[in-house]
Amino acid sequence: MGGVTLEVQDLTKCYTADRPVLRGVSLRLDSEGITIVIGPSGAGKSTLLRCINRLVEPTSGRILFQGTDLVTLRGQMLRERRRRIGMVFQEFNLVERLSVIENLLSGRLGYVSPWRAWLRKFPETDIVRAFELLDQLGLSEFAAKRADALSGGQRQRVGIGRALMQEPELLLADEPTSSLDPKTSVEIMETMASLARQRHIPVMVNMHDVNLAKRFADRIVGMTEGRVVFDGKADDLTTDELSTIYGGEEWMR
Amino acid sequence: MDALSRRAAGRTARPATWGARARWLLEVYGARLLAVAVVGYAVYAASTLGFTPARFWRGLEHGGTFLTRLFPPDFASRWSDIQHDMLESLEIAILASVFGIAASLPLGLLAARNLMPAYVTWPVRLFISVSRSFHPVIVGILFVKAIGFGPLAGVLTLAVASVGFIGKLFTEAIEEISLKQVEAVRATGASFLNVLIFSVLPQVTARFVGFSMYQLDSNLRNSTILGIVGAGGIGGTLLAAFQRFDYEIVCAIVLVMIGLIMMGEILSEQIRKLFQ
Repeated sequence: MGGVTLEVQDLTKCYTADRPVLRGVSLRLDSEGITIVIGPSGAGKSTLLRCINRLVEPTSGRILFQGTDLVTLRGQMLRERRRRIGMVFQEFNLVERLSVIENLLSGRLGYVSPWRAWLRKFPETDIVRAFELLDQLGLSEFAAKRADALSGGQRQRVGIGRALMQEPELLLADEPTSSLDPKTSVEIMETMASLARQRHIPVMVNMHDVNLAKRFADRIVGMTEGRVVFDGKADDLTTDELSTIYGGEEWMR
Repeated sequence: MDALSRRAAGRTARPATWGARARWLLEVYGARLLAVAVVGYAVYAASTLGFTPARFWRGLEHGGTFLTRLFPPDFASRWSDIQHDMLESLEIAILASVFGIAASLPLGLLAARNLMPAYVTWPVRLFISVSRSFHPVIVGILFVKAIGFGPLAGVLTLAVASVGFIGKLFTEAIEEISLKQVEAVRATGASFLNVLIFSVLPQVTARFVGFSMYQLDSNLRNSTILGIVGAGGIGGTLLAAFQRFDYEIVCAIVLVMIGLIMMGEILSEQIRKLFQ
């Protein structure tokens, strides 16, 4: 493998006209590896991630995904790109009243007609793959359970499963461990990292927890006030760099 | 405002301008002023309507005579009319519910401000609230004048009433869903219809069924009154019995109505449970 999967060029986003959340972010993501974006609350990490699959409309800039600028796409064209980008959410965002297997199969909704979606008539290959993935995630016995009957860690694994059902070529994760306890957080990161490595897809994760980030990142990006202020290996993330990203040093002691 | 809130409000600086001071006073003593005004108006209204204890007692005496004339209920002499018109009421209620619910599904969705742009929701919301503004009896008179006497006018009347109520309830249910679940399904690249099917519908189906069953209940009740304005159903027979002073027959009709409405309630309760 090799090459560039994602290239963000000079991205800005203003929710209100005079207060930009992203101030010219540029970033290249290779076709493999785990990139973890750290930074204080309000630094624009989440907005950056949501701009990439256009859940949030960027104000200006370009987002090249496999060479196509996503910012200019609309309707069907946008959905066809979007379905190749998986996303994992902080609060899991499972459809709570649907079963676990339905939640997994919702990752295929970019490929089935409304009629088939209504009748839950997914292609046999999708269904087989969903059950295989469920086994890999260690959730076989929960297939028919409603999503809201699961624990946090189990829900997040379903969330990862749903994203992987898309057979994505890029995986985005918006603070996937922030709602979980420390032990479960590590397990979730391990699951996500190993499944992504198996599939040779790049992952971009937002995170608060610096230590967890150092443990799993091939590359760390530090953001402050809508700008990238650090970009390098986990080992290069020194105390100085951290105090630039988060401001002050007392919190590190 | 309660004592604690007054104390908390007292901590802010005294307002400088007269306007701000008036607003401050209104905020602090507004609830008391309102209570005094409501009680005062109630006393005034009672006096203009001749609502006196003496009048009330005279009414009670009259009511006692009326009650004795209701019994025993006479089912026999008009049974075929009662039976026929009761079934007509039932049919009106069911048909109106089916049409009303079918129309409310798309309308409720189009009126939901969290999924639709303002230029769609605005006219649809207006339509739904116009459907709700008139009492079914008034809508019934309009339809009887427009398309003539009979059950068709009744069906249309209650269909309009259904849209007015469950259209609004559907809209509110959709506006209360978790958008996080919608966002996640949207992120998979699903089309708008697939997003609806997989993230909106699962969140609202149980409530929709509940609302629909309440509306069926309510339509059943209202279908018994439409006959009074000539829009079909048992109401016509009831009115005729009243006008002929056949109070035993009135009693029989009222008892059959109670039976029908209770059956409807039991049935809708069962269906609601099924979808919980």
